[in-house]
Amino acid sequence: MPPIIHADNLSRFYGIVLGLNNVTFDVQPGITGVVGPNGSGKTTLFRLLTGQIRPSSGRIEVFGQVPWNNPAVLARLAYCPESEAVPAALRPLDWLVALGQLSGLAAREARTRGAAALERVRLAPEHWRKPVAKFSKGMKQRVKLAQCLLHEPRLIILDEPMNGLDPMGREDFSAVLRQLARDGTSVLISSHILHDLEALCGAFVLLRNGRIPRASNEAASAEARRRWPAATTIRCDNPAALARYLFERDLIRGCEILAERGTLHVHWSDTDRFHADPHGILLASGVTIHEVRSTASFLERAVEPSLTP
Amino acid sequence: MNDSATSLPAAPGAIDPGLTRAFGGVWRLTYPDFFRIRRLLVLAGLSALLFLLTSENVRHGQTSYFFRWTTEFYLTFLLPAVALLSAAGAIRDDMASVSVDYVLTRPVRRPVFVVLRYLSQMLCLQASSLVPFAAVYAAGVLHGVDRLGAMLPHLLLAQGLAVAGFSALGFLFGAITTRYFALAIAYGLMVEIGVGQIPTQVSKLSMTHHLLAMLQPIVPGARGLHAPESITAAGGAIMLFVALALGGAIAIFSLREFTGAGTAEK
Repeated sequence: MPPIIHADNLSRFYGIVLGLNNVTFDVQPGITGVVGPNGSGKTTLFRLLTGQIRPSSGRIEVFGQVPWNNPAVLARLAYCPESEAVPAALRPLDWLVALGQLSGLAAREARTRGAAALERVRLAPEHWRKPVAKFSKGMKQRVKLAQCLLHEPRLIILDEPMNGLDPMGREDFSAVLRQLARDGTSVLISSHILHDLEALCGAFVLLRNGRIPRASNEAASAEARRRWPAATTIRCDNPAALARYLFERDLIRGCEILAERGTLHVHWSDTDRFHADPHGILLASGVTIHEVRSTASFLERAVEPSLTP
Repeated sequence: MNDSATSLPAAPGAIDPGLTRAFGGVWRLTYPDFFRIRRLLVLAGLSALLFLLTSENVRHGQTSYFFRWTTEFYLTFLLPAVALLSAAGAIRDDMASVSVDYVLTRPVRRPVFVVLRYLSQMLCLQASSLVPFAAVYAAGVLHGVDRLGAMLPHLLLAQGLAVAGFSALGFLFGAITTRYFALAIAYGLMVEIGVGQIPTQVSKLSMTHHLLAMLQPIVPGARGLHAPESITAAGGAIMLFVALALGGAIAIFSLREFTGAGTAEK
């Protein structure tokens, strides 16, 4: 399938400050997560994609075209920024109607679509009469997502849309995004809530200091996500005894015992051997086990390799 | 890149939304800010103050003082200052995140957006300027100023031209710098008060000069340094200023990169 976004040796600098540094990648249709610490270049990438800024060097294409000042691209994408700034005096539906008209919808159609979009993001109708500026952070996020749905874009770019949402709100958001993806809309989303991204995204672009570190992106690749976790955290009655047992069988090559919390972090010497029969091995140790989980999710490991013990 | 990517189905929103729909959108984003209750109350309060000041001028002077006050303070100082600063603030707002992220990521070309934003801003200001104008006019009527009815169309036309001209200038100043207030003061001192008062052709660079020259044959208190101008000539000159200022604002706005709320000020 052809990529919807193609970046080729893309760089963007703000004077001497680095935004993106010579990155090359493709984004395929579907839901793609953009992950990286603050200052890694995520928002710069989004501003390049939405035609707000130009590359310092290299090339970026969306739907095969350069997005800078290009209505043909802008007509087919929508952007939900991280910023909480919203118009002070407008009510949500009025705002959506205005933005819908700017996307070429007739006022009546924009109103119908705006109401449908607000219902879709589950903004309760009793809030529709309040100015958007008086909304809570979570409600603003819902309206910001709603404005992305008005004109049925083919690509929605979301910069930290989960900020300020409670778990139910995040699930609502995820459900909307999954439905959009099923309907053929691609989504590019950044979030610091990595577990949500893992559950949502089929692919990832990992950024660090304006670059795409190869090792991190390999760690987040589809193939890597099928592998067993290299490190596991086990909560048990006697972590020291369990560590001794696993060492004697040459199953682990390192561990950290947190006795006061009854926790053992282990780094497997052979992950396949353990995961072939985890229950049998742990039962045979004779230690009472309370919880077994991956020490860090694959995305956390990819973003921050030091999370593994 | 590859053609198959561009052949994805188009969104129902048009690539070119058309001027009517785009104007509808810009208008909806503009007018609520003008007609907020708090803003209307401030406008009413200031208009009441203007009414009192105008009444004082008429009461303690002759009828011609009313016209001097109207032309030299209201039409060529207060109204231009309000129009310029209001428009400069409006275009600055459009360079902030709240507008850039939502409006400029829609398929409206930037030059078109600036023109539509100017029209919306100018129309709203024209409408809201009728309130202080009514206050000034009411003070004149209350104190029996002569021939006021006959002059009403000319005074309204001058007000309309002042708002149009100085709004465009405000767009240019706002597009240039966040310190548009300082730029406006410098412009006022150098061009409107400085150059505009020099009794040579160079004074035609001043917009208030054209307004006064247009009113001179009709309104007794309007003093002009040069020969009176016809409505067509004065209106044409101010429309030329509008075109130049708006053209400058469009050029700056279209070429500018919007790097974020904080960096939009660069």
